[in-house]
Amino acid sequence: MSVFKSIAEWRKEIPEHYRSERVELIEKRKGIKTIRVEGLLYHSQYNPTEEAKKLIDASSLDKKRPVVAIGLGLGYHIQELIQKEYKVVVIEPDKDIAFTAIQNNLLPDDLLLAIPDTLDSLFNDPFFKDFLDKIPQPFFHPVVSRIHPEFCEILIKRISRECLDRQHFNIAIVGPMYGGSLPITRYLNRAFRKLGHQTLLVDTEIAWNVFNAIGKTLKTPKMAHSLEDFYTKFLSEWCLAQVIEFQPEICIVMAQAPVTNLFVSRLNERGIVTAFWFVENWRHLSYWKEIAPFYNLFFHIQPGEFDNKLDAIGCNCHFPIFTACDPELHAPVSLSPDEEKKYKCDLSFAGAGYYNRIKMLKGLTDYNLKIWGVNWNELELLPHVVEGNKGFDTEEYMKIVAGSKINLNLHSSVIHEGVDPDADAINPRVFEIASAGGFQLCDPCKGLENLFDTQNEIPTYTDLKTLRDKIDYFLKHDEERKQIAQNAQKRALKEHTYEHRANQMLDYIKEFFGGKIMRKGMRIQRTVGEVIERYGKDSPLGQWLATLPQDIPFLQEEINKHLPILDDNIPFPVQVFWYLNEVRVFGENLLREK
Amino acid sequence: MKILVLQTARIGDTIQTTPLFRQIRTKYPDAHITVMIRAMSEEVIKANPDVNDYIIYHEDPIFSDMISRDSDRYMNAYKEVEKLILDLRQRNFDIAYNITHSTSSALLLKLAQIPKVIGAHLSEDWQFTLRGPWTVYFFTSVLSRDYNDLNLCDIFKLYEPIPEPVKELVFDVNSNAMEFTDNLFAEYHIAPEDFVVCMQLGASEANKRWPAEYFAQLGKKLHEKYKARIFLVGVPSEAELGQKFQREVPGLAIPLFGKTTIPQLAALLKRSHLLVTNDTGTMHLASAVKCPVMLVSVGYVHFRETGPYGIGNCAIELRERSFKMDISSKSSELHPLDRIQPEQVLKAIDWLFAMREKKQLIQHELTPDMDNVNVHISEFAPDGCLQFYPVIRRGIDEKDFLRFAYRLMWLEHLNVNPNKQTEIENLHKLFRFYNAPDTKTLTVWNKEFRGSFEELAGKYKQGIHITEQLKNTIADGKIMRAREQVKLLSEIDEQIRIYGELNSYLKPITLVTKFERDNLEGSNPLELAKQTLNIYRGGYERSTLMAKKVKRCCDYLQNTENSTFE
Repeated sequence: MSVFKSIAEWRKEIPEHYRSERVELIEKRKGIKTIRVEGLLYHSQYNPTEEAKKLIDASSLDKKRPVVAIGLGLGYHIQELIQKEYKVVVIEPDKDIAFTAIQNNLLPDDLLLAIPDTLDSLFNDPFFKDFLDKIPQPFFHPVVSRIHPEFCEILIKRISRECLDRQHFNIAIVGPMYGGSLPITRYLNRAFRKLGHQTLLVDTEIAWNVFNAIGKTLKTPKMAHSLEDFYTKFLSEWCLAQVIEFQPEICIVMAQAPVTNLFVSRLNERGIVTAFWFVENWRHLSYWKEIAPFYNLFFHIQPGEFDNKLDAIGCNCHFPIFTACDPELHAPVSLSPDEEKKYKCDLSFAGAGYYNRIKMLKGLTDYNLKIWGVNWNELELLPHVVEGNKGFDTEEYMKIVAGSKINLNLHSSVIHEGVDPDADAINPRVFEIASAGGFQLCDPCKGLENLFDTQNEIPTYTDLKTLRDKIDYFLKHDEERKQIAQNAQKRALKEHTYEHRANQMLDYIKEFFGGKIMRKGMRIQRTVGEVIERYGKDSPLGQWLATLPQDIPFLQEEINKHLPILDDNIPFPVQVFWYLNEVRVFGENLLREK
Repeated sequence: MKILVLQTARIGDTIQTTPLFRQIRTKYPDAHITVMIRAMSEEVIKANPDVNDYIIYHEDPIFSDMISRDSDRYMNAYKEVEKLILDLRQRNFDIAYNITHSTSSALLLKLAQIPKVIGAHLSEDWQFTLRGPWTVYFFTSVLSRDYNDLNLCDIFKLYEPIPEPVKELVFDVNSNAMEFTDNLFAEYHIAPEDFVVCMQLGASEANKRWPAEYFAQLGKKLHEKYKARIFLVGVPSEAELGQKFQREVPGLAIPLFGKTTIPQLAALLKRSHLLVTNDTGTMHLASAVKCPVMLVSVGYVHFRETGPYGIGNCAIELRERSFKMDISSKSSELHPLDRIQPEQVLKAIDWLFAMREKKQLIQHELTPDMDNVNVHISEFAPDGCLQFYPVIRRGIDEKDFLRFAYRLMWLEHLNVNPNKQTEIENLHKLFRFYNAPDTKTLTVWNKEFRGSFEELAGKYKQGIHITEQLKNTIADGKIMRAREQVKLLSEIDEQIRIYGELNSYLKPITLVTKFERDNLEGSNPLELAKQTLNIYRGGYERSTLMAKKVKRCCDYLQNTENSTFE
């Protein structure tokens, strides 16, 4: 039995002489009625119809989407919605108000109304579940939010979660032109796609050469900065145009992406949820101060003091999200005999030659040590530097990890002689080495102990002595070393992939901005399997769709990849899809001609 | 017999297809005729006595669902189309007339399993869209409008020619709509003898609009001269234009923006003495109910192609316009000589009424105040198609000459009027309204134009020769040789294209070739070669025929050079 009943059915349940003490019915001249509840007038005493019209007009509801109206009052706004041909259901938490409204015969008999005793009864209702599947627009009457604020807050969160948990999102990810967050951008994009979401990767890497050239070709720093600024603004507009065309629900901007705050504001205006992922060290790069408050959500990798700093500048919605690994890319590899010659060693370090790393590695030159990366110019270390001052890509990095018995990780510092005792920006290497099955010794970056077991998964060291002790130990204890590496790999794959991070981001977004997404509406993404489930596997369409991979999105771009060539023998659904393609081509050509 | 007519363009296009409906009805008096239309044309079809039934095609919602990238909307689009195709199949049509030219419409009709399709349709192997000669003409004529002399209504009619072609648009005004007009006239105290004028200020694009202020000035003059009662008609979004009008002449006109349905508008036009309009659907509605039309042809509009269909309608255009598309952005900066003036339109209206009263075309000598405009009046030529004849007497220029030669060529090439006598009558009726060029000019035209068309024909002949060889090469399996021949054909295509660019009057022929070659798809080389051969043969026939028509016209004018006509 559904919690949603028609007004006619509810009418039968109202006791004959029902009268509420709480709800005062006010009747003015010309039959205009309103109600007062807890001192609040629900509708205008003079022209409630006109007031309802203005309320609905101001709410910018989308005619194509159904509406779940919360708060009944006497129903003037509901009537306005019905007149405007919205499909609407109503939830009224207050039985007294509901019964008063029904008694006064201002509502159509077939209007569906729920007066839920509990929220669970509402969300367990099959009719409501089905209704939520269509991503309805929540419309709260202003007065119900004041009379029942807690109910409304919990309800919208729950509606958002229920609706959005089943949906695939459209997510734009704007990446940097250059730098460490560039690969992270790509990993995140892959992760969202693997989770079934549609993404647009706004790739600005191609703009780097020009940006870089500006500074190099101009002698006057002021002029160079001015032009770089100008160029960044142009890139921001370009990114904006791409995002707007894509029409996502969510836009994630990565650290160092060339976008301005105007970019963010314009997306916010369009109802797009904006998030920034600051994967840098907040102490080293301070631009977060200028940008963080503009975003709906600000993700970072340094919980603790940074959170206080963000609060202080008015950034209210911020959460730690660490970097991670991509199991497909950060995976164990086998080395050929030639590769073994190049990559095999007892101890390796792969990364840039920061001050503290140079100092630390100078204490390890007696080992079979190989160093990879840029800025390793110290004489003592040069014999250990492979291919002299060159970067490496992920593919090569995996070979480095595969060839090393011990992979050394040390978080960078420009002032410490070795380990930075205050280091708290956990680097991606922690997760990447683990995922690739490499054994890792790491400095005790704050927070690492929450992510990995620092005895049995990623052992740590505090200074050169403890490092050397552990190197000696683990070089002698092969089996234990391999076991620890396996433990770390298991942990990384279980908890620290980019898919985990992507889901974390989405959880926060749904929790805090689900309502925003519901109001804006979203493009519904269903997989082929979900479509078959909804529309029946025995139909001709269902039968043909069953021949496709079930997890691909049911969208034209994806279906097209599987359409056979038109001939007399193709199944009817294929013919229909072909026709739909032609309609689109024709329409797009017409638009272009205009 | 069950017949489907696919006309999913705009309201004006649907009205322009009504002569075809009648011709089909005439040929198949007992047939059940169904028309597939967009929702906007529903009232037009309801008012058509030749149509039994209609299907509304929701192309715009399907398209917007397709581009939404939303799975549920994609499914909506799928279901809509599935329902449509199954409905079409279930109706078991015998023949379909496809008035659109798109591959999508051709595909739809094939999926509907209609055995015979006239107009664009798919080949047996689903690979080619075959468009039929008139569809190809229609599709390519928009690219070389200077030389198109045929009205869209006539092109549509030629999908199903009959011995006595229909010469009118069809729209039956019902009694409810007439009652609306009665009430409207009563409300505004308009007596039966009052002179009623409707004005359509809007148009689908800004560059097709004559300024509202000019409409207002004209309205004032019509009121002064004819005591005209003026209605401003159009859709709600054009009300702003009405406000501009009202600011110029407060209280003169009665605004009806968005206040009439199509049948009501038709009834109002039926009771009106004149419609002054831009190129709009209202113009066609007026023609259908026999309301005289004064078309102010501005912007990228070609009145010969889309002008009011019927006898005794008038079109005025700037002489030097030549279809510039950038007028709207600079409209406020245009010199008066770059715009049609209200006084000029008033004069054209005076002429129109005089001609309608006398039921004959009355020509006028050129005067300075009309120097920068052309005024034309519509009538049916001996070939049965609409013709716009000049009201101001001038000499024939090259464009006029070639345009008419093209008319003769297309009608013969597409087998409409191979009758020599009709051709002579056509020539006689048209050229009598022009001052013939001198002998020297005619000699030059004969030599230059005929020479160009003959040279073009020569290039097509080369293409035919090589393609015939190519067919044999393919049959023999000589791939390398085939490749060389294909390369030669590409070179010929390029020569044809360039020749058309250098001599723009050749474009009506070269563009058809380009269009046909560009749309040649498929994987069977032999089929492709056969199609290519047909394309070159078509080009050859047209070029050769044009050379003959140029000579014919020159000879005719030569023989009548110093004659005078009434």
